[in-house]
Amino acid sequence: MEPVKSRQLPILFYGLSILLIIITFYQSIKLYELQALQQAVDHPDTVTVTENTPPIVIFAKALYLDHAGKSAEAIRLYSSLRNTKDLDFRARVLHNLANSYLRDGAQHWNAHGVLDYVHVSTQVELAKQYYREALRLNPEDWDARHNLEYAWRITPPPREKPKSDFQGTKPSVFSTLPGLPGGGP
Amino acid sequence: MTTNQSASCWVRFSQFSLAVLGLASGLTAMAELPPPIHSVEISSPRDFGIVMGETLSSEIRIKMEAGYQLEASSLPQPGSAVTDFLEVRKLAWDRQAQGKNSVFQINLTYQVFKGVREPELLKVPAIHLRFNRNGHVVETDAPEWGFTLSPIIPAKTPDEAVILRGDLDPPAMSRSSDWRWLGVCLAGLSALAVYAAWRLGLPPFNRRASPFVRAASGLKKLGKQPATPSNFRLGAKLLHDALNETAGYTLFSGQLEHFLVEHSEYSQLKPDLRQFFIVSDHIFFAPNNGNTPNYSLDPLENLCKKLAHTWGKQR
Repeated sequence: MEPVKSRQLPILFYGLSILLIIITFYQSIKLYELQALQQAVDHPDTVTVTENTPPIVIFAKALYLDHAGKSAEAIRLYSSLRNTKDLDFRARVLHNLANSYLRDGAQHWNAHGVLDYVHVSTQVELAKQYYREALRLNPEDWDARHNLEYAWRITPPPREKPKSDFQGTKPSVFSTLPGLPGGGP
Repeated sequence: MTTNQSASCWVRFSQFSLAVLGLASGLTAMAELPPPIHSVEISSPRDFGIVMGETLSSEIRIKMEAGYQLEASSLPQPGSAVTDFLEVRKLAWDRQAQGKNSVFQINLTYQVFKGVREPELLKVPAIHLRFNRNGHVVETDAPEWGFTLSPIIPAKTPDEAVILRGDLDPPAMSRSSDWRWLGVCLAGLSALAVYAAWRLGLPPFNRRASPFVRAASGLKKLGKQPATPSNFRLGAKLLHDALNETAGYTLFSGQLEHFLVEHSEYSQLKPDLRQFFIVSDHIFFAPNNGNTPNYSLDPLENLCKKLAHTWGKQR
């Protein structure tokens, strides 16, 4: 007798179905996580940074803190991301880190000039260092180029060495060494 | 003289200076070349309008006797600083044979980190190169060359008036590829579900519905057309298909008894079924034997309805 069409499903159907279900499940979880991440990036004020906080959320939080005037905390967070392996991301971190230092340095420079020499000099040098690192990673970062040039412009001139007030002559090194009273050994 | 005019004069002066400098250094290099080296040339695609952070490249071509190897350790390495404002970013070199000579081509890319308030002529220092052939070392210098570094911030802008460029936003998270994958997977699953429904006769395909109901529906449509032998054959085939599907095999008239034993629920319709097979045999296998059957599809439709009714009672 000639059999009529079988109603059973081929084994390939089951294999393909299982594969597609697994991929769908995986993609759904991934999208859910990305959505949660985007939510945190969009609202960094609600985020509490912990050891497990993703770098991009820390970045958003640092940016938020910097704009809120908490530059010290922002610098701390940016610094924690400085060695990230994603080079594009690292370039962004270094750019913003340099901006934080330079903003602070420029503020003091414009307010006090050379009177605040040490602070301005330190902040500007750090900014220059991070701009250079950022530009090494991404030479096309024109904003970093502009800001680095500005950092060069406001770099305070090196302070002159104070003149020695030593008036005497030094015929022998021993004559300047402190010794025991009375010339004892 | 306007600012633009003075700037263009400056650029022209710089270019002229560079040309003179390049010529002079080229001549000097030619005059001092050790015997196996025939020429040392250096060129740059652009040596003006360079700004802070920009990369500038140079190409050094050295033509010399064949057989010499360039000692790579004599070349500046990527990442190293050649001056306090110039770093090497890339280095690539190769050697090509040209008859009895070899031509070394060294491509160096530098990055400049120097802030200036006005265009400034800067120097890329000479590079000391060493070649070796069987222990015989030859040394030469690729001459220094100059480029003009220009400011990005206009020269006359006071420091207080410079506005810092802003921070960078977090990198955008692209989800399009994930959505695409999810869409593809869902489409694939939908296609598999449709396939399974078709294969198993699930809604909307309803192949689980009585095959006789479907056959009766087909017969009703056919019944609206003229009662011709060809239409009758189509109608009979519909009923045959329904019987075959119910039986699970192709049911011939000789197997009717067997079928009725297997599906005793249809026993009461045995005369009608027998009659159908007689008519079917006649119309399919002996259409010209003289007896002209009634080509109306009504009897077939009625039989289908009875069979469908019995099928429904069984389930």
